[in-house]
Amino acid sequence: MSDILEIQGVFAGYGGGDILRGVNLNLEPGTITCIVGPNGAGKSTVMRVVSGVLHPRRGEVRFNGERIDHLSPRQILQAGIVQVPQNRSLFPGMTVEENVRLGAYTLRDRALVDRRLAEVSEQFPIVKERAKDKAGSLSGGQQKLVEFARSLMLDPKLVLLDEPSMGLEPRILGHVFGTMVEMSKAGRTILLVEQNARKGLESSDRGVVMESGRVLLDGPAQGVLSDERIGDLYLGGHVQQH
Amino acid sequence: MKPNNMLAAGVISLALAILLPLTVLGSSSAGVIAFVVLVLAALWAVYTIEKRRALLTSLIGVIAAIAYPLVFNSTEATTIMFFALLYVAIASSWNIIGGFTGYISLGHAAFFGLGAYTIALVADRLGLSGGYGLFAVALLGGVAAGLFAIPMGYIALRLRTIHSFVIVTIAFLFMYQLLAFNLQDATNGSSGLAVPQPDWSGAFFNIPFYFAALLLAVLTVGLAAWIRNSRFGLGLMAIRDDEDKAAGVGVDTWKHKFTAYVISAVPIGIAGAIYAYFSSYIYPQTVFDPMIDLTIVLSAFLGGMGTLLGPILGSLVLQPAQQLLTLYTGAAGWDLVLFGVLFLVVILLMPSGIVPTVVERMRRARVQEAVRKADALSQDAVPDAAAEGGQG
Repeated sequence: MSDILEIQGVFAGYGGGDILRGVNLNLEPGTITCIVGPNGAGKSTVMRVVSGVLHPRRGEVRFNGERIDHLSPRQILQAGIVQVPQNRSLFPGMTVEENVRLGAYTLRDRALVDRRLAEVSEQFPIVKERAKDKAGSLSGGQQKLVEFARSLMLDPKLVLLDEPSMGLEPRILGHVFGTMVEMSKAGRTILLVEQNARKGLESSDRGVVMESGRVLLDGPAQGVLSDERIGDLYLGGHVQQH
Repeated sequence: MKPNNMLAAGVISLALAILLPLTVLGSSSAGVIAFVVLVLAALWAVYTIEKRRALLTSLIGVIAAIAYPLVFNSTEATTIMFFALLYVAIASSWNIIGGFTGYISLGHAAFFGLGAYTIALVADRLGLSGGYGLFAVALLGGVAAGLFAIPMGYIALRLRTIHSFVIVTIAFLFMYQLLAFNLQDATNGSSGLAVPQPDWSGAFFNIPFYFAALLLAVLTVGLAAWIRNSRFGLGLMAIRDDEDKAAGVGVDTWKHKFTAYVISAVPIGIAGAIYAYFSSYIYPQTVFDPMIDLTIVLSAFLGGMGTLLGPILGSLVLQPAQQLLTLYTGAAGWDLVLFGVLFLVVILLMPSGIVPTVVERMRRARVQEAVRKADALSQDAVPDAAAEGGQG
């Protein structure tokens, strides 16, 4: 099957020089790819380039074969790429159901939104159970699940998850990553950026290690996880280039 | 006693504490008793806020309001409820921008005044006489308010901070008041304008006005409810919660705020026109009056801003209290003292207003009940729970 997302030779930055220096990355449909790497490696910048917040200086980004590197975030959203941001992005004063509905705000067809809400509620029981409660009254992990649910309201093909473990208690991480795996099994492609490398890679199909704006390692997640160089990297060492 | 029952008891005692002395003071207490009944009905409505009962509650409320002037037909009783219903419409309309989006306008009295001057000027220029036909002209007050709201909203909402919005709206109100004073040729300045009066006599005089106010209140609450449950309303609520995040999920924030602002002006313009017709004479300082704005905001605030029931409940409590105080204590300004005290009490005891406080207490009571039941269940099945805990 052809790749759903192709990033080729991308250079991008914020004015103070390039953060990404020739990134190549391809995603197969229906898989989870986890990008790990030390702070400043450019993981989140890859997300920004894909979601259209940052346009690359050089290189190409293709989604289903179409170039998207010049599109606006809104156009990219409509093309079928949704991002779940790092920080809490729910509306705390609104109910869980209202928050999930807002995920499909750009759709005008109310019947379609109702149908999607029903589907998402099936997949995420918390949306049904806490429908009328204020989102701000949920725990961090519950809020993250509602954010996942909301991201599915536009029926995206590709979901970008930016550090979903951020600020969550370790004991609920398993549940959050388990939910991510279920989303992938339902046919969605997931690109994950994760500080918690072990947890992220354990739940993924493919692992990508980045450092200093380049991809250093790219392969099956299990292989990356057992690669001894990963340990060095996270202990502050550097990967030796072959 | 459950917390929500305690709160209800507190609110009812407060209402009675204010009303009982008035009942003793006044000779005709029919209106007062009816008011207490209505407040209780409104409280009951708060308890049955769940959607499936909302329609039934509204129906009971409307039937009670229709029956009211047939039971209590004294001029005092109908005047009090006329004002209460007029403010239900005004506060519910204001709530569309002030409550749903959080953009607190302190200048919506400008639309009230514009409506009032519209009916007076149209009747004067066209030489119309009093009668049922003038209620149709009152609709023009709404049209005028809506048209004026377009440039006003355009200017006031250019500023993206709520504080500047509040200041600009206050400035608008005083600008219109000054214009009404100074455009002598059109408005007759400080001498005011007369509105032709109908030849209805005695206690019947109030009845058509009462039903006009009731109709306006029902339609405005219906409009607010429809907006609240629509996609547009969802966008407005998102703006109130966090305007940047709202823009992030695709809400066109400016368009939403502007539309809400213009819509909210229309029923208030109609209310101003009905008021002008009812009071027969208008002056710049009585229709472009900052006290109107304070009353609107306090009504919405007392009941609960951003909720549908809040402005209704707030108006049903505040207006009769204000009217009765004026009626029994003369124009000594005791109503202002009441407003001040109520404002402090609300801020201290329930800063989010009656409806949200009661709803929140009910939710907490439900959660506590669920936790208690779960505890009782887990105590019955201690070995199982221990086994599960061991795995986790």
